[in-house]
Amino acid sequence: MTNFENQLRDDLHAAADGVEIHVDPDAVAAAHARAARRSAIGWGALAALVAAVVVGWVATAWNPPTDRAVPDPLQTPVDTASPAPSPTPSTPTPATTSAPTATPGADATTPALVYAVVDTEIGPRLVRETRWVPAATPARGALEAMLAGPLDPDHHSAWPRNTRVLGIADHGDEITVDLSAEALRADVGAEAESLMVQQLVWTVTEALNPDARVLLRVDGAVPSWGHQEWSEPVARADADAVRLFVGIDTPSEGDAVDSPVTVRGEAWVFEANLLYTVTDAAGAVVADGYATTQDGTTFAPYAFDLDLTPGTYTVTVREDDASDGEGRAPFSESRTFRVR
Amino acid sequence: MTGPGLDEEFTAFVRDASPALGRTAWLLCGDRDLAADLVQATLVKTFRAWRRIAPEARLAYARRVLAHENIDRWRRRHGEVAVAEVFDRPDAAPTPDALVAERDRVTRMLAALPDTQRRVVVLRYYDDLSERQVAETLGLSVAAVKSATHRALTALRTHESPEGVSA
Repeated sequence: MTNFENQLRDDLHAAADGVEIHVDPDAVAAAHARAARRSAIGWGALAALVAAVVVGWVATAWNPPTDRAVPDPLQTPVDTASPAPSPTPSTPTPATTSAPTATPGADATTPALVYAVVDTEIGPRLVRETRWVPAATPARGALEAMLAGPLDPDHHSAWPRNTRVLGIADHGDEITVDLSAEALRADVGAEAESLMVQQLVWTVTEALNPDARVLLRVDGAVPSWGHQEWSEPVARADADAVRLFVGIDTPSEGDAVDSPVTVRGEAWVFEANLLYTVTDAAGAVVADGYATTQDGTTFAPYAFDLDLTPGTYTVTVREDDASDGEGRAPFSESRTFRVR
Repeated sequence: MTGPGLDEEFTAFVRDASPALGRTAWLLCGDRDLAADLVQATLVKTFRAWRRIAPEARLAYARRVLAHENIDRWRRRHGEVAVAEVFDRPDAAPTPDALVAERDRVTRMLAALPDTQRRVVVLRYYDDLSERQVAETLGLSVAAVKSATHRALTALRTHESPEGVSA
């Protein structure tokens, strides 16, 4: 240790050693008991969630794009003076023949992660689907896909479906999104209102810049749904506060793929251990095991390969049961796909 | 299902580990109430995982939860403001002025650091963890810990001079 390091250590001890933070063991026990009770009554709802977290859209084996140099990601109807889009950068080949859904008629499409909401025993959480959006305007495409609502009937969106995107302006670390007045018809509680805004923030920043803040306007004015005025730019809330802890980005629901099938997604799981189970059309377990995420202390990507004979399968990924039933039940997500 | 003695075991852990966790939490967030909330939440999470943690790893586990819990909490409470600009005084009771001043100085110094650097400094120089232990606690590589330590020390040296303002 250098002198400076020793001095620093002494300073920290001098400042903090006398600090007493009172923690009441009874309060800890009470908080734990509340969590356990929530878990006990949440089983039914969770079982339904687990059985049903399924999506019906198109995607292929792709990683969230590290290359974000998508040409002209903005599209504001009032300002169409943007330069012509350059050729689409390495659009992955779709693994299925299903048609893109976001904006038919666009020549080139690109996958976008679009966020929706699912209800869980610990409250509403964000989940995401891969949607195909115009490569020239991925942010607008992702936002329109979000407003149109998730394809998975078990996910939902609090945004009124007839809401239109009036404009998106990217100022680098700040993005302004202007929506039509229909957005104000959302009828949500305070918690859901906050998550609704986060749903939009995560979707737009996923397409443009995860670190940017989003300034939301409705018909050019500061929106309010009765609980809060959204007058300031909003950044992403922490992932562990808003996202479901496990997710599957690919394959997509209904995909037709070749074996070996690579299952990819993001999860935040204890000690980076993600459990998976594969069942065939008859419900028989044909494979199960562990996959490892790249980091057990945050949301991190995972991938694993499955060798499967032709047929229809459902893959379920789930958290390890962190608590032997002491806390909430583990989250999971499933996808059904076909091996050619 | 909890085995016999588990509650007593955990209560003892709460009693023994809370003071140290509380001081670490206070250094990380600079707010007594928030530190208490953080430690409580940390202990609840630790208890949930109790049976899969080896007894000798419990404090390390709790510290890891705490280091991550902190980020979560302050952002939700304070929006994007990293930590309170000015740390509150740790004790309501009369404290020698010199100590109060020293605490203010140290906590302001920490508040000026980016999150990761602050966590690295607290774990490395207050909790006396090795670089590898800090890496494991924060889910970083050892190289990232070394680099964050280096940047933090550089910033703190600059901060020592009155004109030093970290960007």
